[in-house]
Amino acid sequence: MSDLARYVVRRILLAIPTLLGVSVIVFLMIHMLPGDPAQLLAPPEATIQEVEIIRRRLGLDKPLWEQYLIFMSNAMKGEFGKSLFTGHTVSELLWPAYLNTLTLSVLAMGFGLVIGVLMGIYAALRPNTVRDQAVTSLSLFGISMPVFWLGLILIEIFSVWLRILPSGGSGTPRHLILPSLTLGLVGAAYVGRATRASMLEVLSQEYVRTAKAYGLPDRLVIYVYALRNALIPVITVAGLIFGYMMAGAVLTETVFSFPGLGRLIVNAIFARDYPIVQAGILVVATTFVAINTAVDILYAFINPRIRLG
Amino acid sequence: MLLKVSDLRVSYRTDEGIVRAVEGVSFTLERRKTLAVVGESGSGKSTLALAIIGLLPRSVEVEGSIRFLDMELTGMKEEEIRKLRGDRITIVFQEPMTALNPVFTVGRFMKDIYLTHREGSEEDALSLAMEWLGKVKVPGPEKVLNSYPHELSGGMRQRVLIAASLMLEPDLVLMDEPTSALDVSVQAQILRLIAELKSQVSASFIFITHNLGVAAAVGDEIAVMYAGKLVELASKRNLFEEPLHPYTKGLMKAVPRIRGGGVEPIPGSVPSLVNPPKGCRFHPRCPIADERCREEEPELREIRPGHWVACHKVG
Amino acid sequence: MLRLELDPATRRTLRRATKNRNIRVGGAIVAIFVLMGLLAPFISPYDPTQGNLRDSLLPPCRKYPFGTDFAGRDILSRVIWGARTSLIVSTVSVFIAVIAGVIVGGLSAYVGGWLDEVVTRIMDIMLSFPDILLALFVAAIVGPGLENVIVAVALYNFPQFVRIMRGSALQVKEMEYVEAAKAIGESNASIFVRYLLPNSLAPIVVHATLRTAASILTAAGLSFLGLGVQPPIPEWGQMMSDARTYLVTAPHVWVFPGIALFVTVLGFNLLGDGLNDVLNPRTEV
Repeated sequence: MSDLARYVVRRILLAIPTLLGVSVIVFLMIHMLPGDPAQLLAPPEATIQEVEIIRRRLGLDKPLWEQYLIFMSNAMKGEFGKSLFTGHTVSELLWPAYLNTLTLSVLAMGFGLVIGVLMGIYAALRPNTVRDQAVTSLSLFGISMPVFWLGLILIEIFSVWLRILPSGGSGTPRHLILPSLTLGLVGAAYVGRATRASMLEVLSQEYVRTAKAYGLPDRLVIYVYALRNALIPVITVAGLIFGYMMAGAVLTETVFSFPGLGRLIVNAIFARDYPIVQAGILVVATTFVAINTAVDILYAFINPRIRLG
Repeated sequence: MLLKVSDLRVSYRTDEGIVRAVEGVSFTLERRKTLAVVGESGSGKSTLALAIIGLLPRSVEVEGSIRFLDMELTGMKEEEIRKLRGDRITIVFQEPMTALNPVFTVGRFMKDIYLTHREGSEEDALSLAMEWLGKVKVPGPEKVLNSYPHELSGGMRQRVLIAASLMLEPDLVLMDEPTSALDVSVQAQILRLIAELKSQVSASFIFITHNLGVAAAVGDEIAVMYAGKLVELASKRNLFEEPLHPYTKGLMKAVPRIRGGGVEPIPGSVPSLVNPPKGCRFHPRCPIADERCREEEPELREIRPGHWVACHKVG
Repeated sequence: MLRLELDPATRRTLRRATKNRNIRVGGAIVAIFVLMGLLAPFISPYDPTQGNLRDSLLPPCRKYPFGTDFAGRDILSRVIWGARTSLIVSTVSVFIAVIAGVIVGGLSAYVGGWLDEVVTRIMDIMLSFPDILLALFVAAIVGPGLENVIVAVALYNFPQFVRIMRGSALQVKEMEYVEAAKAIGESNASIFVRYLLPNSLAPIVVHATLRTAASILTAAGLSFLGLGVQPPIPEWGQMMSDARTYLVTAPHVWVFPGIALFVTVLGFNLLGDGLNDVLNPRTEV
């Protein structure tokens, strides 16, 4: 097996215990809640007999480890039981919402990466000048910006004043613009900071001086020789930000009444519809771990040095 | 004449004050000759190389004249000097471990150099690169061509850089301590390789080193720098038979010899380049300095044909 | 009068700190925020919880500089009192997380072996819940309310401090002077306090400042969702939670708490960045 293949396998294996841990915590949620789990999972108007039936049906009378195994084997199949109140199965509600959030996050990530990387390079090429300070301040503003407040401001501008974009809802691509821009701008701030720092570091490296010393044109030196190295740490940051966006989507989706996973989780928390809460949180965390694993693997492809380690 | 440096002065601002890294250095270099520049760290020898190839940051002030092939390099537009770099003038740096881009193969780097300066196909580029990797004697040129820097040893990387520096048959090759970061045994191999390659190419070399022994191994002429100034300049033979400047003499006593004779380091250290000592810059460390040395700065004078020295106590 | 004798290195750091623009601006904002929180009862013009329904949703005017909300409550007073809420939630939760993180991270590194392995694994698991999700999860279990938000935000900060403390403790642990201290029989507790803790202080201070900014945002986010601080306690995120209703008619309802929230978070981020420049000089350009 090649170094790279070995690394990929090892990195994937490493994610498994983490995911198991996440699933245990999410599974235990229902037992951490004050009160009787069967009671919590039963409709409010259920009688004592009905609660007992539910207890047996859901296996809540079995030992904890057995319950966990059942939970996991169902989760592997993408089954999380039934919503307590809506009459739908959890997966019927979960996957469309997940897809919406994923679309939103991917779009936002696109915005964030493009704007952020360009901003970071732009600043790093002239460190400690006015334009660098402008970019640095803008990024800090972005990082300090409450994402829901930014969303409200964008609605005020584009929907209330200019009346060119819908203020909420879903269904058409136009509905995606403001939410993904909101999330993307905050992402761009993080990406911009990371790119600037990493680019500054790389531009001071000897291999960049070597490239210049051999007369390679600036655009080759900056956009190929330096950027390729500078983006390596940015990719890690981008992976973290993607998870951040999936989670931050909770707030954005609320502002824009966007039917995504975050909105689903929050509504389920209010409704005490715990199977949905569990499934939603498990799915977001699993996606986050999967993305970070993918990023580490991507990292190995871009950075030949890591394959040795 | 290939290169004529006249009254070169390099200075830059720091928080402590203005650093005058090179102060009034002049010399000439003929074709196919090698000038070895010797000095301790802080003597300005690396700055001299970077000034010639135009790699000093924009904030650094370079005055005086560097004439190269009928062109004036000081004040030359960045775009013009960029075209000379890698083609007519090349440089090999001290640190082979960090001088190559970690994410690109050796072949990619050499190909980019070729395609920057020559009209030609990628195949031409790679075959020329291969040919030169052969000339610098890397085992398995094809494999090295497809290797990433981290897969190569320090000595191997330095061979790659030497190949890159000679590939386009430049007129001037600058070597900035190319062996100092390597193991002693590898150092000797690389020095032998350089000596060998010198006779095969038409380039002139400026070889920068802190080690007089290394200078003797590669130089036709030797320039000794101290605190930003040229203190002695002579042919290798003249310099070693009759060193004139007390600093040069001190350096010779400081060179470790294989057979007998202890090392006598020169007492004291290189002075600050922000506030250099008045008079001769070497006087605080000089065993024979007198009142005049403390007051008056010595000029570089030609004591004998081809043997220049800046010392009041000589001649 | 008592005069502080500082060693030259500390004095140099202090001088650099007072010259650093990020520290000055950030510090000023944070000071205003803290004062606002502490002095809320004395400086707020009205009772933040009592409104006059006849004055409902007034735009900014002489009487109410920031206008009023639907219940006719003075938004300026609520913004001032909101600082107090944010101050309590962020400082208490970060404080808990720092103490717990220092103990767990320090022990984990110092004892090593299986303990370290277990702690590292658990932290990896906690960090698999991105950002607000962990706080959301905790809020789902413990329910809304001021104390519960503090718990949720503390738990969300906790693994970060474990990591930092563990990292710097691992560095110091191998130092010769720690080995020497062990050899002459210094107690573990004393080694912890005398060597491990001081060495970790700079990164922890920097990180605590930055995490305070993140915590204020997270707590406000939870409250915005309705899962955090509950009315009538004034809280900036919660004040914005029904903003959608007033997008067209009364934007002042959500604009002012938003500005307060943004500027405060910016202040902590500036301060954290500045402290990082001064305390970790290697990151300087």
